[in-house]
Amino acid sequence: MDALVGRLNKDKVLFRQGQYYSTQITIVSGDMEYRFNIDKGQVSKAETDDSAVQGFSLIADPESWAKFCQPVPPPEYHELGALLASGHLQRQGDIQAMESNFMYVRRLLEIWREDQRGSAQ
Amino acid sequence: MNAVFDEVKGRYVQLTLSDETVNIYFEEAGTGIPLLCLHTAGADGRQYREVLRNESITRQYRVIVPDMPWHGKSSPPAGWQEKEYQLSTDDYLRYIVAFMSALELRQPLVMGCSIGGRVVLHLALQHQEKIGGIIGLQSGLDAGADDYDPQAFSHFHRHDVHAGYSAAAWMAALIAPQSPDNHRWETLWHYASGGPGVFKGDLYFYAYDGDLRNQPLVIDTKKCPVYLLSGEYDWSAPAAGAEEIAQRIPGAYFKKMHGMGHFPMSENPEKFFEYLNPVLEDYLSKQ
Repeated sequence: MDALVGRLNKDKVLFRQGQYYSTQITIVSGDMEYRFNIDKGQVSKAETDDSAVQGFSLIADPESWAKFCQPVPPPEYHELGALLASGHLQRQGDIQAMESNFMYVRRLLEIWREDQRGSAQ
Repeated sequence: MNAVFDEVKGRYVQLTLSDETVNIYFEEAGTGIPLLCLHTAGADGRQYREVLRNESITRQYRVIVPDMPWHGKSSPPAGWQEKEYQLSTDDYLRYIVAFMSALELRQPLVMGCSIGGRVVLHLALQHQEKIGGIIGLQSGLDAGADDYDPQAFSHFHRHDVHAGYSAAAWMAALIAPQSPDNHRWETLWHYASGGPGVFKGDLYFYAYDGDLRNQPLVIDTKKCPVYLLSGEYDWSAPAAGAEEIAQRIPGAYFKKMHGMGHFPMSENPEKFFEYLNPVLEDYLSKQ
């Protein structure tokens, strides 16, 4: 998780997108949670019980995330918007915080995916 | 300095549409059968740049790519600051027919993508005598008109959201993972640089007014060939929808484009030509 946070903070797309963005993003896969605090674009690992910052969750079953993380993901599973539009992913919480920074969120998820692929090897 | 120029020429034509004057910017290249190319919602003719530059196409076709009113270099009519842009089927057809008439295009082959892929069907149904054939890219009969809710698209036009980034991020989800990164990000740039409210206004046609489900698809494909090409990664206008259209129009051609999304001509032009070239050859053989 620390290495992933390091990668997120070095990413130029996230840096460009996130300078005014503060929220909490949680990726939920079955019983697993990956929770990030975003403070003006700076990413840090959030404690599971940290509810001081309002945010949103991206929730999908492990099978859907596994498809998302394939080297060439299948249709409907290849992008955040595709998962959402096809009903494979649910969102909970402050939806406006997600919609208004959708480019940031999709990029964060893209880097998380790269990390997951690396972990799987 | 070794500057590299292509053969693409751009200019304006002034049209009067519903008592409003608009300056339509268009680019063209090549000689031969007119091939009129219509861009997607919220974007502009830049999407077809590699088609304009493709000499194997421009040797046999006069490729013409306009920016719709309100899009690209075709500025909105005077008074835009007081209007909400909303594209209706009638407005869309009126513009296309006026443009074809102004350029004196005789029986053009009309290729459109997404909203363009829908409107070419309207064009063939209502103005079959004016065109030579259609190529529908990512065509569909509808896009959820029964559940149409303009609020669902509010993030594409509200003061506290960067609509360009929002549109680009959503359109990223329609691009295939196989598409090259440079083309992917340029396609997203087209969306990031759209005018305020324009993408949302186009979606009125795409998601509601352009619904064709309940219309008989009577097109004589001997007089007006119908070609439908659809990318497999498009969940908004899925290939199955275009396949259904082809089944309802006797003689229509359908091909699913593997490893392709919603923007074939701009997200992966080289791959797109593998599917487009046989269509253009077939059309030529019928002339």
